[in-house]
Amino acid sequence: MQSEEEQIATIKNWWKRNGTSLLLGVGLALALVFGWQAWQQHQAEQMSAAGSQYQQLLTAATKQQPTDKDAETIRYVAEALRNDFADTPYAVYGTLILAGHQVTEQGKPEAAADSLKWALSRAESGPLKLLVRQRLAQAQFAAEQPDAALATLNEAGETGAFTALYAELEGDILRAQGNAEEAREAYKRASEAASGPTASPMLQLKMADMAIPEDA
Amino acid sequence: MLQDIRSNAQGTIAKIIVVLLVLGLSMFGMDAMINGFSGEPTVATVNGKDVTERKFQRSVQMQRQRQLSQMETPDPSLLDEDRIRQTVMDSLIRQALLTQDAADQGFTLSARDVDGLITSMSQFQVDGQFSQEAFTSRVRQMGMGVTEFRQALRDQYRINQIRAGVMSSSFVTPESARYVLQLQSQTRNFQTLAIDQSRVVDTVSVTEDDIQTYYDNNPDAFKQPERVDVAWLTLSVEALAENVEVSDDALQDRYEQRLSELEGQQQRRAAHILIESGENAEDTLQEVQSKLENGEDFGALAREYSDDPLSAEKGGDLGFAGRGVYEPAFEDALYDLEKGEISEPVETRFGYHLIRLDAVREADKPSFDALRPELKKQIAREKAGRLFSEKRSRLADVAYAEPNLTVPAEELGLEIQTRDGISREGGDAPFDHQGLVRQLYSDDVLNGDFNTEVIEVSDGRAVVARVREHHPGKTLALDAVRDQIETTLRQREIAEALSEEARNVIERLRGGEAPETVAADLGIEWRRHEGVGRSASEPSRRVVSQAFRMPRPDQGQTFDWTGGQQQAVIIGLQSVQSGSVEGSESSLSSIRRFLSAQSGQQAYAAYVEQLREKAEIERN
Repeated sequence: MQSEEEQIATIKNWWKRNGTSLLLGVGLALALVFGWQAWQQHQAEQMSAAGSQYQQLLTAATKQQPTDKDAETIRYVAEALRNDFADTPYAVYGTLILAGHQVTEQGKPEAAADSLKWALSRAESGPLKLLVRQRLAQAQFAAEQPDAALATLNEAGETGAFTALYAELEGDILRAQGNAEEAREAYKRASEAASGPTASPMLQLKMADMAIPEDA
Repeated sequence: MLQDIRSNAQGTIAKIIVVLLVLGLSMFGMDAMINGFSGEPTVATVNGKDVTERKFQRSVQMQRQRQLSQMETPDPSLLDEDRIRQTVMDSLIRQALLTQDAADQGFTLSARDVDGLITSMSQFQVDGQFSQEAFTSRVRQMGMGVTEFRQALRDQYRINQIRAGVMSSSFVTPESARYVLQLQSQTRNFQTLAIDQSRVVDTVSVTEDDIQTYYDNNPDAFKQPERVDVAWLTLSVEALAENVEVSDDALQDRYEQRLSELEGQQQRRAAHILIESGENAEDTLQEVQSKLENGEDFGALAREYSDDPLSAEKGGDLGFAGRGVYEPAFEDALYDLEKGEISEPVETRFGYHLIRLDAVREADKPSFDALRPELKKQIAREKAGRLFSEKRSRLADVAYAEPNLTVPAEELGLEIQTRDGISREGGDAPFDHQGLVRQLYSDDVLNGDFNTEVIEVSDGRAVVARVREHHPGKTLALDAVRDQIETTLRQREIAEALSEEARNVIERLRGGEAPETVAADLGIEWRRHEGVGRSASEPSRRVVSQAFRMPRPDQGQTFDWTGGQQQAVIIGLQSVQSGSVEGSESSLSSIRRFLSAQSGQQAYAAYVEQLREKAEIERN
């Protein structure tokens, strides 16, 4: 057992040896915590800004009768999302919407394909990537680059729940190329994969036109 | 051990631990660290995240409420609990998947954004202003806490951002739209050769052996479903009303009450002159008033001065109107006037009015005798309604206590009705009520000698029933179904013989024999069909859809057939005409919109399905 003075002396000694490093440690921890929080705060503000821009984009894109001003909004906001918030998911979705607009309203499938290539490079793996890739192939097909479109589709690897969509598009492209035999095969694959909500009524029409029996 | 920690406390390891702890707390928060160990009961796990029992139960409850509120007469016994639980489970799992997906992708919504959303939602506003009270009470009505609601809103919003993004960005190429439009408007020329069943009917025969074999092989087809013979009592407001005494005093009271209601329906025809409030309003008003005093015509003055252009044209006339049409000040003044009298200026938000009463139209006052039957019925039904609830609970008590219907029938003066052969599918009223039928087949009622509960099968009509006899399902004897089997087998053989015949014909045609020769051999003729559209119903839906499934002829015709019991039809497809797309810009753009919306939905369905396929979902 130590006497009281001895204990105090031990503590003082300990403090002498370790005090500075302890204070340093605590200080470092605090700095880390506050730094982290400030960074998070900044991140959240960025996201919030990107999110509200994206919402504006959605509003313009879902109008029944879009005006010239809405078209301007879509172009401008999608561009802004891509330049200022490239690391947010909003940039990818914004670009998707822009691409749809470029094909449908502007009649510029080449531009849409460029947009979608950027989106594909940004999209995380998973359903989004599969979706973007299918859209890219569609845009390439519309831009009269059927071979590029087929290549895009084939690079996908496993297509999971998107198989029916992929195969149907492949069939469309092959048919347009005059390759009836392979188009038939593709439509058959689409029909096998399609079930429930992913089934397309247009697929049946196409299959009938290609004289593919329904039970195939 | 303790010694170790003490000596290490001075070392770097302890410091690292402290730092990690502080970091952990600041990054994930106290909640997450505690909730991680809370051990609340769960019904499913989606990618390691729990769907709690509490949330599940509440959603089931809400779904039940929703279904009940959609029924004409809400009746919990009609709900299919298993279905509801299944639906709710599926939708919670889907919700969890989509929420995780949104979070994984980094979709966020700050607390301030959520505030903004909430304050802009009209259901939380009173007079166009956000009201904290309205918000809290509406949220509580939904069975949620405020924090929980905010979280749900945040989740839903982010999910919607993804869904809207996927759906609204979809497009179809002009080429695809043109192709589909071409397909839809395509027409085909073909000829048909109909082989009637009379050609083959003599060749088929059905033997006793065939019938026996069919009977033995298809026992399920000859099962007679389970049935019950039932007895029931009906208590109805209608029947009660017939026996209710209605006194003359009550009738007289009701008649007078009706008359006073009619009085309120008096209509008055007014004319007015409106002077809009403004700087000169007072002066103008006085001018008009003095002219009126000098006997000038009200109508003429209205045309000249009134700021109500519509009525001014008609000399101020507003037509007949009852109470509750005009502003209170206007109305009070109008109803104080005698006919022809002109009011003092009356101020409303439009300005100053000078009002004249032109005519009074009283509502027709029907005589006591004319109203008597209607009033009597009304009073009787009201009384019967009160009586009904009393008697229904009495009936419920007695019917629950007695193992028969005789006692309840006597006690309440009701008549026992009976019917035989009610299957699980139900039958005519009151057994068109699924809840009632389900109770009849419940163990207690079927085997336990109990009555059903008292069930309100429609508004003001309650039924209690019991099973007199239970007939379990049985297989019908061969003799009872022989004719039925024979017909079935005959039809089947005819169809087979027809298709045999058709295949022979097709073989000859494809082999290159002239169609006319083949037809002549059969003693029948080809019929031509030109410019037939995809959705045409002539010569028949079946033939048309077959003709549109056949490959295009390169040269000559392609042949195929379609058949049924009545006839087999040989089709020779001669030519295919592509539909014209030229000049159909509007149908092209509308088909483009349609296809693009459809492909958006398809894409989102695939998106969700893909998430589900890749997820680890456990149902407990």
